[in-house]
Amino acid sequence: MTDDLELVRRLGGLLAPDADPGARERVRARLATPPVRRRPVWRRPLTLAGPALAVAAVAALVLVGRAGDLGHQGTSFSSGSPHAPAGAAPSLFPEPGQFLYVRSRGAYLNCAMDGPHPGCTRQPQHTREVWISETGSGRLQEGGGAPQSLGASRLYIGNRAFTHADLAAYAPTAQALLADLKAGRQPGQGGKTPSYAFVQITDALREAAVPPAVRRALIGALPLVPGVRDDGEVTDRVGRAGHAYSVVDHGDRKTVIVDPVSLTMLEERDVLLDPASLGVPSKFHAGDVVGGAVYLRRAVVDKAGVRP
Amino acid sequence: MGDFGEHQTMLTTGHVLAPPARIAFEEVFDAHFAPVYAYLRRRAGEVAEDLAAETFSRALAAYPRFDPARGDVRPWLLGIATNVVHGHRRAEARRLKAYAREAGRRSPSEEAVDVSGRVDAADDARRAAAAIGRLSSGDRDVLLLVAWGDLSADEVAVALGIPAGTVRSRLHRARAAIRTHLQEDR
Repeated sequence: MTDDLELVRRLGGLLAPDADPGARERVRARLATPPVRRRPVWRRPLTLAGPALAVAAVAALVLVGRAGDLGHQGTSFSSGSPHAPAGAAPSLFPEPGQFLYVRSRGAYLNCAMDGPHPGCTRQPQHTREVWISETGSGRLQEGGGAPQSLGASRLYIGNRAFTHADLAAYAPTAQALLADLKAGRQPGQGGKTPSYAFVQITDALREAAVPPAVRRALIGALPLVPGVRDDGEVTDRVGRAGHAYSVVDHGDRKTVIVDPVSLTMLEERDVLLDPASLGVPSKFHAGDVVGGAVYLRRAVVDKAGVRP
Repeated sequence: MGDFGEHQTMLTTGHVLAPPARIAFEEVFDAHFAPVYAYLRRRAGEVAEDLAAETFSRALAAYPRFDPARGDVRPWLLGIATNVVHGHRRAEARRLKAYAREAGRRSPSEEAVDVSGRVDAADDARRAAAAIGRLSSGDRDVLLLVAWGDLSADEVAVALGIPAGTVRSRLHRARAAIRTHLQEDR
């Protein structure tokens, strides 16, 4: 059977078989006569980092940082109960005009599946900062680069898109949230994948602006997901105590460490179980940590670009 | 996401346009029009030319603030293109559905021509189109930037401004959805 990614590539060729050779010059002409508000700057130079060969890739995060260089500015842990009352947690839910600030640090492994040099390359560890408004828009600064604006986005739980107001009014139990994750899923949407709920929950815990009641339900739902293992109390790589949950999925074990008091994700990491799952020859072995990010700081600030 | 907007006031001179290899935007256009246009044609069909013009117009306006330290310009352009496509999500969904239906209407004689190869491939493509049409926009963006934009997962993270962990999970989820759909629809 054809690989699913290769099949999607072929579909692209079927959807757009013949390029229009005149399009380039027509678009060029349109750019040469732009709207009055924008003046073309054709000769503005830039540095290109190098040609990008067309590679399709499956990424694996790789943890390459040292705990000692990160500092400890996050939340503290004082309760062993993953069901602590949401009232004890900081809001971290920006009002209109405010921003959720999240600083994390991680490193990545890109695995090129084809092209002249298939294999995995370790990327440098870097810091990532985001400022997220109540609309999901905001600012991103990553790896010491220039700030980048982020367009509006919505958090999806299952098939439901939540506005800021929707989230403010949403206070499900963990069981109800799990049911919402599955609601409306259709064949082919991946709802039957064992790790589906785990992946959705961890997506929502990373950088989305989510009120405490929803964060409590998200974290409370983690051990209810079929196949998720409760790994108990652990320490993250910057020394903070938290509660770990993990799931085995496609050749690696994905672990998330959460703080049951602040109801936030402290760290996530992937440990390789089956090197063959990378799909290309690599120097990584079973038991290697091949993914991770640590979430160092979360706070609500009044302006994008301002650090707490 | 991926589009540089009004938040550039913090840009310092250290971020801007360092030597040694400088090229003009016109050269960027020449070097990257083809892959950006191809990506847009796959996602948006006949309106791709308009969307390409909009993509490069936005890129031109933001280009003075592009930070070369972020890496190659192509992920940045494809991130802008993906934002532009978002205004045409419904048209994209209709197009995928139409393709799925059309491919499903092959005549019996066509099926008899090449039972071993082309028919299976066409069936799979139809199912893939239907599955892509059902993905959430976030999952779809990641999948199609990898498959049709030829970006690595790390480049997709740059293009969309999302964490690499999110890219990885979305890509995994989207691919699992495609596989599930292919199996269930047989």
